[in-house]
Amino acid sequence: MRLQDKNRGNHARRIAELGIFAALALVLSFLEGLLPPLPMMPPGAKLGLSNIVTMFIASSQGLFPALLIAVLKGLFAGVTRGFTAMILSLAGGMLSTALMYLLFRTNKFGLIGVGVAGAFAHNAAQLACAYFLTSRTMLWYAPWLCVLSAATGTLSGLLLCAVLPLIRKLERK
Amino acid sequence: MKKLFSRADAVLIAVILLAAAAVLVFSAAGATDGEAFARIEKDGETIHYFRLSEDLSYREYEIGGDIPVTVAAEKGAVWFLRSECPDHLCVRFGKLSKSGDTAVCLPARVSVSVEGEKKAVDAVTG
Repeated sequence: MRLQDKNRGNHARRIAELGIFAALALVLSFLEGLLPPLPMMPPGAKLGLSNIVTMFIASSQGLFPALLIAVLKGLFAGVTRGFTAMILSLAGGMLSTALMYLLFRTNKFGLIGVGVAGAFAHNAAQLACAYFLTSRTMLWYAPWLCVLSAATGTLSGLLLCAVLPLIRKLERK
Repeated sequence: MKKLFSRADAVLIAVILLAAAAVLVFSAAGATDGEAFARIEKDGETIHYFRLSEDLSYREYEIGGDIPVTVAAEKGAVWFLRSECPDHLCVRFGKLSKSGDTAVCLPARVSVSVEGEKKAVDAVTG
């Protein structure tokens, strides 16, 4: 489902929209950093609120705009939190965006399923990075990160479902 | 309009949760008893390995490199005390004491973990 129909749509409008959503993703990831750490989870485990933005763009505008937002998020993490954070963010963001896009294309999954798969891919990519950068023992967290993905992915799906009608309303103006 | 939840979603979530449960049960079965050991690794190589016995006195391990970190240990616990890394997530892991506890500082590529002695399978029947 495109953000606007092709007759009305123009390039400038799409770029402007993408800019707004990219800014939204950065703000969400910044605000999320202010939340207290999640119990039972390794420090750094997050709700993944900004993934809602990439998820929406992946479903409405396609793969490349969504990947662009993931890359911007990664660069933002690099500027604000350092090189390692950038690598982790890029790996997690790009893998999860690609997977969410593919699942949307199958048309078999709902918003909750896509959200969970995206969260899972994000966590798996980051755990793989941690594995290669340091040690095997990080794999102890794998089952907990699975549980975390199921919870945060469901939250993403619910939130996007709640916000979608509002975005549609804006689109019509 | 995108649907919120489908049967495929239920299957996906069930598979993820079952896999997590299976790994947790499996790792609990292979749990260790007896004494715990601390392992400090840098770049995947063990640089310190010691017994976390009850009479261990407080000590600090300075680990140099691009990003220096300090790991502290005392009786039954080991933890990241200080780090020059940007986010200090490693320090937030807190004290590690149970077998399987792991903390990492990814920017410094240092990990600290607690391991137990592998429980011999024969000991269960005995």
